[in-house]
Amino acid sequence: MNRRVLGVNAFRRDPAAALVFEGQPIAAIQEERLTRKSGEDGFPSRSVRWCLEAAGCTAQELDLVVVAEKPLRRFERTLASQLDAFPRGARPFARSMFLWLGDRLWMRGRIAAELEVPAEKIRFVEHARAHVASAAAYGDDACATALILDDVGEWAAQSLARVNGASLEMIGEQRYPHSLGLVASALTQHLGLTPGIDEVALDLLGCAGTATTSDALAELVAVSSEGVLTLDSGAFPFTQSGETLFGEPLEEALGPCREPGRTPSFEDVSATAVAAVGLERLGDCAVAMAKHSFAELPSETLLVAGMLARMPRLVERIRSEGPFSNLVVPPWPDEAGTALGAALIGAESAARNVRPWLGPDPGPALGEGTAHSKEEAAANAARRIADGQLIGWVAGRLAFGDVSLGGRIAVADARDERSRRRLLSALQRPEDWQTTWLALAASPVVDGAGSRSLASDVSGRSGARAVSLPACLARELPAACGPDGRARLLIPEPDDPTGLRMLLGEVAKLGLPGLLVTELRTRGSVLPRVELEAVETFRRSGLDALVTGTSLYSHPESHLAPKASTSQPTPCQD
Amino acid sequence: MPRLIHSVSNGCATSFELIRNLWRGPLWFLVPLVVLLLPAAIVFVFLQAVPVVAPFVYTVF
Repeated sequence: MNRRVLGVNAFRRDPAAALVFEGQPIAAIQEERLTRKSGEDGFPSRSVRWCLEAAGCTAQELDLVVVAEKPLRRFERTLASQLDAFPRGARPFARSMFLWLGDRLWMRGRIAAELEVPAEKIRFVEHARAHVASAAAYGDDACATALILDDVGEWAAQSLARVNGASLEMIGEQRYPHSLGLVASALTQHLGLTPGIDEVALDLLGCAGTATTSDALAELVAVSSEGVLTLDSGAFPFTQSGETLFGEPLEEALGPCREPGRTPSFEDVSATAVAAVGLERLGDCAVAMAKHSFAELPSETLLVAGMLARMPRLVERIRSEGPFSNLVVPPWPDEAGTALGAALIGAESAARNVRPWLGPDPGPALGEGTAHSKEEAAANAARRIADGQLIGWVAGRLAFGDVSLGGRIAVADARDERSRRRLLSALQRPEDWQTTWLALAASPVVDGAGSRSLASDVSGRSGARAVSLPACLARELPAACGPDGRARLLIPEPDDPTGLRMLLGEVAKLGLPGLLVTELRTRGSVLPRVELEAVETFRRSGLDALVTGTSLYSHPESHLAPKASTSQPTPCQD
Repeated sequence: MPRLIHSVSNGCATSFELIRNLWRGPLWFLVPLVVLLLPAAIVFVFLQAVPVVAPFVYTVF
């Protein structure tokens, strides 16, 4: 077994690095967390440096550097698909060849030069394989079936694999351009949102709409009983142009596309209907693929990763309609997770039950604490929440992945119907469909069919889940429910290092059954890493207070905060 | 100089690997195109390294 292995996801969406030492992941971080710029797609130099620092080693001490992609195979695909579109895609072809021939094709040499390691230490693994390894590491089953629902790796869009200890056997794949992830991207673009980033909006908007034109989309996105996807090449001309992912047949089926940048809302009937139709069709296809996966590789547990695993309602359909009794979605389902998967493959590790707390901690406090202990700080925060304040909460190591909230959250009282809009507006994210979670201290006990999934599957997992709340809880916590009466549930694990469990315990003492939670980041920014960045985020936001460790900051103008002459947020005494 | 030699040998190894993989796979007919494109890669790399020309290269593409 290789002792020190660095995994890298580079030149794709959400670049990241992860370091595995003696078979166990010890550090992992996404590049955007360090550059403070969302939408990165280059080489994760800073993430690599941070991982090496965290592990206390140099690049020369690494046994292996593993990249979560085979660039030559991806180049093959690019070349073949561009030629397929010839002569229409002449300009995208020139642009893409310039990018590939000038830079990406020589990834091995570039990484070797960047890290000053011999080129022989650099390996490449298939993208889908890295997804499978990362999902297997989060679960605790030695044997499982893995279904990867991605946009596109080298060639594979959907992949099926068998996991058995450290061995990963790729059983089958469906190739580009018949990609369910790219269908989601095309629908996202049709809604005027950014493909590759906003796909989760389909899931969130879809819950408010009615799927009225499902049949028309079903003709364009066909799936057989064997789970084989066939896309209409006119409706989804992925190979023909670099920028527009949908064609006229899709507009005929779903109506004209929205202008880019015109953000839809729950009140927008046509947008929610398109999202609902899309979500339903994606769900139909995903369920068919899950059923076929079970027929091919029967097992108790299905691991799901890839772009579509970010959509909780879609995952919920696979869980409820699929044949698997247990379904695991890692908190790093999308591209960043492949860095971790690549490192684990390089280390030949069969690590299981890997937790996401692999990033930096908030660092030393900027000033003296305003509370004597973290418990006292949590009690202060709980009192403020019960008084209707919006609180930022920063604690513990930053979580790896795009679904994990980590200890970088903004919270509000979930009992107040207006809390959701207030919380999102305070973070300059006014769209009503933006993601919020309902944090509960424990799974609610529910009668009826919903009890099993709520009580057993949710407990102890921080992955994306959308569940129907029992009627009594939905009435009590209206802010947490979407238009379909469902909530994304977050139940902190018993060893949760973020202190969220402690905070939930304190609010429970004040009679609050749960908290409304969202990421502590304003529009266009990324999650803060250290206390200083958290204070910066807080300063730009409309939150009433920020708790980091034992310190509590509040805006001087906050109605409950002590008066101060400066406009900067100040640590205050509760 | 050793670094340049190392870099050139890495580039050659990658090029050979690309051509070999293509030749063995179903897309063998792409080999002539790749053989034509690879010299262009050398031009791109050198052009990007020349400060006077580099801005025009990016504009063209």
